[in-house]
Amino acid sequence: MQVFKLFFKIARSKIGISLLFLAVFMTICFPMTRATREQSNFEETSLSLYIYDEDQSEASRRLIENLAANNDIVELPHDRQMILDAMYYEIVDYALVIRAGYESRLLNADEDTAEETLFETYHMHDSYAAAMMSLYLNDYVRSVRTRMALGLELPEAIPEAEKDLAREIPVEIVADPAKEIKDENFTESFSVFFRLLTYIFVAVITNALCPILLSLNSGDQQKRIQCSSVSTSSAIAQTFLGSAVMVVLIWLTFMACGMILYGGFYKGMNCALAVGDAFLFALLTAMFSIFLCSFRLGTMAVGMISQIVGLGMSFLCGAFLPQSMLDSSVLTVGKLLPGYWYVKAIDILSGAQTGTMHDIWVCFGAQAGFFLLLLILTVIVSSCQMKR
Amino acid sequence: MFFNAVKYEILQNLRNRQVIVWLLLFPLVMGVLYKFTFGSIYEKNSFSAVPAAVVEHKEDVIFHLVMDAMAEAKNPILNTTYCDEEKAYALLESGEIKGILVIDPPEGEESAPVLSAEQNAAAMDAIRQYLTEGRLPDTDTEDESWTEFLSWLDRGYLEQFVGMYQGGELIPETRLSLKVKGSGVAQTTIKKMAEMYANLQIMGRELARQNGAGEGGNSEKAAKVMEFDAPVVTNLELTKGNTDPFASYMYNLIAMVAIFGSLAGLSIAVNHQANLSAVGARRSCSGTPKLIAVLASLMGYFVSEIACVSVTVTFLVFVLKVDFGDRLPWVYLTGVCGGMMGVAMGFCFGGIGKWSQGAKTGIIMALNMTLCFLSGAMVPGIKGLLITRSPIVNALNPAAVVCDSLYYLSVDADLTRYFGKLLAMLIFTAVFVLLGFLLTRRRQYASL
Repeated sequence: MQVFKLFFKIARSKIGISLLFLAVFMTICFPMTRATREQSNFEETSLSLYIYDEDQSEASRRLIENLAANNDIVELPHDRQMILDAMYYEIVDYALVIRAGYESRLLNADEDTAEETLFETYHMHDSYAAAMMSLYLNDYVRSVRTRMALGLELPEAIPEAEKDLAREIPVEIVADPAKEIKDENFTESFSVFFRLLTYIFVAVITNALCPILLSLNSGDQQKRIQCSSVSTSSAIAQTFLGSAVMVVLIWLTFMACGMILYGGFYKGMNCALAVGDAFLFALLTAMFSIFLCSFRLGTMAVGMISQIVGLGMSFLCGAFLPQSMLDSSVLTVGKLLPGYWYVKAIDILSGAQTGTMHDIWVCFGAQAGFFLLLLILTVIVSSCQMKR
Repeated sequence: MFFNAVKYEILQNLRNRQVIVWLLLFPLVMGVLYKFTFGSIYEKNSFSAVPAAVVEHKEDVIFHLVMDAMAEAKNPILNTTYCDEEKAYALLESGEIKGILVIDPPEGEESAPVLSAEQNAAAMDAIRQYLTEGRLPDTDTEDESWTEFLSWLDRGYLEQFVGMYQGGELIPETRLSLKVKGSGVAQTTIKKMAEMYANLQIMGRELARQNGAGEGGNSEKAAKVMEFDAPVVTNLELTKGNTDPFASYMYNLIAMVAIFGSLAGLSIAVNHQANLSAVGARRSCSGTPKLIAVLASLMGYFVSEIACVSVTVTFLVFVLKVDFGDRLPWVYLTGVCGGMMGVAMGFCFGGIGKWSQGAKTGIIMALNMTLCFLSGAMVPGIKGLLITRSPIVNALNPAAVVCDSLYYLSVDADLTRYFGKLLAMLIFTAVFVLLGFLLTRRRQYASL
């Protein structure tokens, strides 16, 4: 096992940089996984609202309370540029100004005052949030005014209108139990951690493995191994074993860190499948690193390729942005990359996409196929390099 | 001597594969990739009417009327398809619709047969006529549309219809429910629309009942209020600039090129320290004063970095047609200042510690990727998170400073905030250069 020992001797000399990458990417994972909001069953999408009350009346206060009951109110200074930034970076979904004179205009609705609106909203682009909130405000005002027209005073009309608006229609989530494999132990918010591993595994595993493999394949080391009593097949097998152990260690480290985010040991079948999916993808990434090193490129070239492949695959396969947001042409290209199948399996397991157990096996099979393809290509490239 | 050193530094950079790969090839490849991925994502995810199916187990012509009126609005919210249950489920399964609105009769009442599409259209025409003229068409009239209506509907139905109106039943009593495949903003929009209609229906029925029971007075006034559809919200445009949130990926790409200048800047520190490189040893024993030599290297690297950033900006603007607004010279200036800041950052970090160039490259690479990540180059939500929870991190992140300045150029009418960020870049550059000098100066070696 001399080559295996050598592998870890070189690994030890490069452990610092590997640990640095590991630490950096772990710190990246934590805020992202924590930032995602969880939605189970049917939940109305609550909006982040910025409200500025110019009227400061009882009616406006009641409206703000009503809006705050189902939405999150974001505190911001009343500054146009701050609001612009907040809306651009999606901190605020809807910015509402309750205009001065809201209460009096709410009381007196007639054709003469029709042009004077009750609210102003800072508009960036048409959005579902804006449409939904405008609809609600229209409904609110109409209900209050109708109740007043029916003879109620404003203080009584507002609670009556709120009662009208609080009436909800029943909503049923339609899902074929035979097809649904969602498990509450593996939530959509936690699945973000597994999705980010698409980039992290490529960055960490290639940056940890490639320098070792490049050192092993360097002229002097190669010559020493070749003139030793270790056979070529044994040397290759030991290199593969070393790589496998290294990958398993990295995978175990990330899975252990995942447990910290999860809050204990993984529970349920879906978690187990996600962990298995991550293992498959880690092996695939290791195979990609070995394939890359078989070209005997420099560290710098390997670094650049790993960054392009890592970032590219993450964008094209829905690791950074959900697959549902991506254009069909992007997803078509994504299907040609293993990351797509890895992310798809995670999405199905978390319920972000619908799918069956059969779909999960298809995803696993596709990754296994990519692994075999890379293995064959590595053998071909290595034998070509040896003949030179 | 100084300019001669600058010239050779530039020539050396042009032959440096690391500079070519990271500062020229990498951004070009990433630019193409970003353009391909995000080119159409804004259009795909921008607001459009939410597709929904409507399954009627009881005829509700007013529902048709309300939905049709809303569909004719400038920006319709719902796009409804009336169909049977089987087709609706198929559409939901295929993802063509986001939800199924089911209209049921009130509890205890059996489902009534639903009118055909043609009968429905005729009925709605008649109701529209009622709403515009304030009365149901006279059955003895010669009105063509009414005759047409009669030809489609039997008298029994009509009598029932008029009876419903007279008894306050013009607005039929129905129960709405929604079937969806999951939660989301589109599904919530359908729900809100349905609840708005259900609310209108209840109030309308209440008014009609009061009217029919001779409790008029207030109900007439209330009916007027309900019909009063003046808008209550005025839209104020925040910016005339580019509001595409995915444009921030392109800003980040320029920030990435600028920050990757640190990989080049790192060489300055390493190549001027005798214990870190052979070139450093040679330079240390040469006759050129260290200050002049380091300044010349910095100048050479600044020029090379500026050239690389300019190529990237030109490629993004003229080849990939990325919209940076109409202040292109300022975009180039941002790239220039950002690039200088990147080189200075590399110079500063290169002076720390006695690690090899390879180890320092690895560290600076990890640092760059972290800074780019925190600036939103990978996951867009992180920027918003930092702005709200930790604005200081955003203000001190060089990649975010470049990114923000490009964003301000794009959305702000004036340049006040942009100049603030530009000044921040210059301050960062000055501080990094100063620290770099302090870390690399006056080194003495007992043995090399």
